Amino acid sequence: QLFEKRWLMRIFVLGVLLPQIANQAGWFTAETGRQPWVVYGLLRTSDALSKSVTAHQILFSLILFTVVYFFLFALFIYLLNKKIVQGPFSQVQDIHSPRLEEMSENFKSIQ
Amino acid sequence: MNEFLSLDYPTWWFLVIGATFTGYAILDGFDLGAGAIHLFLNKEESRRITLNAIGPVWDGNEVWLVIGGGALFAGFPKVYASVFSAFYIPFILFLVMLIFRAISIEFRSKEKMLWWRKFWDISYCISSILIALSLGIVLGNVMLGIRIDADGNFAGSPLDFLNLFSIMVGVTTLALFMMHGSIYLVMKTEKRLYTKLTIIVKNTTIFFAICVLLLSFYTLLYVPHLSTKIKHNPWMFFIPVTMVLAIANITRSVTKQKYRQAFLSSAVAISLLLIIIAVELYPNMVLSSMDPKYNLTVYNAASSQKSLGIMLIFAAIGVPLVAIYTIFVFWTFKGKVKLDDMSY
Repeated sequence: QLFEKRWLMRIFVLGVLLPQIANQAGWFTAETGRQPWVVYGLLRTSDALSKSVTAHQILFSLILFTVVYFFLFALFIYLLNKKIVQGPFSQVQDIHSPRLEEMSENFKSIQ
Repeated sequence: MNEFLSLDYPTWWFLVIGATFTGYAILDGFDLGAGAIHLFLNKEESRRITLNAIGPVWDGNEVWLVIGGGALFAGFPKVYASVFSAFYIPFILFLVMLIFRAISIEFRSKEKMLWWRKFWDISYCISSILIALSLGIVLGNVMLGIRIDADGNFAGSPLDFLNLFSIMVGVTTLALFMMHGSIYLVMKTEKRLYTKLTIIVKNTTIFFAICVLLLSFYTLLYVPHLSTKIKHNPWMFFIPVTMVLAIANITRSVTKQKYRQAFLSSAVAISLLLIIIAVELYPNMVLSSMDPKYNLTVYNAASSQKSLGIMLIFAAIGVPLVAIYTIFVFWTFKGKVKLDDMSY
């Protein structure tokens, strides 16, 4: 019966964000915490830069990656949303695969 | 200098990197080739079949690039640093093209709309072509020599990488991959698409033969440092001879419709091309067009002997494992492509 409470389902949906936030927070800690060292005690970040790469090139690549990743994220949300709305069953109903039937049996028990 | 079987560690690493990049060219070559000819196929079903022909294997094939790049970083970090910093923007664009090729394959069949599929088809084809071109252009520049100073820092202008020789190497690489890819596709398809692909095989082979001839002439005439070793060691002439015979065998096998033989000959031709380049370059890895004493060689660009030794052990275990599972995947998915519900 726990799986039938709507308020709990809503909390679970929001809970999906929590590992993402935890992950990102961890990375921020690691990367800002290591400054000013790239290799602790041996190499500073300011000494580790490539001399032949200009700041403009780095800015260009940073902006390019941001744009590409936003584009990918938008696509991801769009396609994932479509898949969630559609549900776990295959669109073509006349495929009889034992695996699909087993999967649908498990999902039916949650209804 | 530590030695193993009478070759020192830097030389071993040169061979390991050469082998992994050759493996990459043979494996991802046909994926990129299949992508490059994608827009030549007009029917939706043809495009889906060719996508599924490379479907189970393209991801694993791209892994070989990562292995090669990783081995370069681990074994010769100065080469990694010099070349990647020198061609920073081209490399970033190359990475973006790799991203786009991967997502084009995966996202294409997720929606039924015509504009969606057309968009991802064009994206797939253009990204495959640009990846093949970029790989060739980088190889061409490494062979020709780049303006690096005593510290290995690049001292040239940003568009230096677009010189005629490198562009020719790039176009030859594209032609090679297109030929290699269409041979692989012909092995994997049947009936109407098969017929269409046999024509594409013939055309791409001619395209490649022209490119490699022009490139060879240009190299012999205008880039003398790339033929010195074979010139001074006449016994090495058998390598280009075998390469020409391998290319000729491709056409012979294709007319006899023995496509597996054609594919193997194509793979051998790719290997021999890279072997010639490796023979000519060794022991240099990146030539400096400013001053030959600034060349990066396998000796001055290598990691410490200890690192090389430890990593050789890992490579000796890891690379055969990768080769084994690659062979296993190909064997599992052997045979002609049949579309089903789980296909791209």
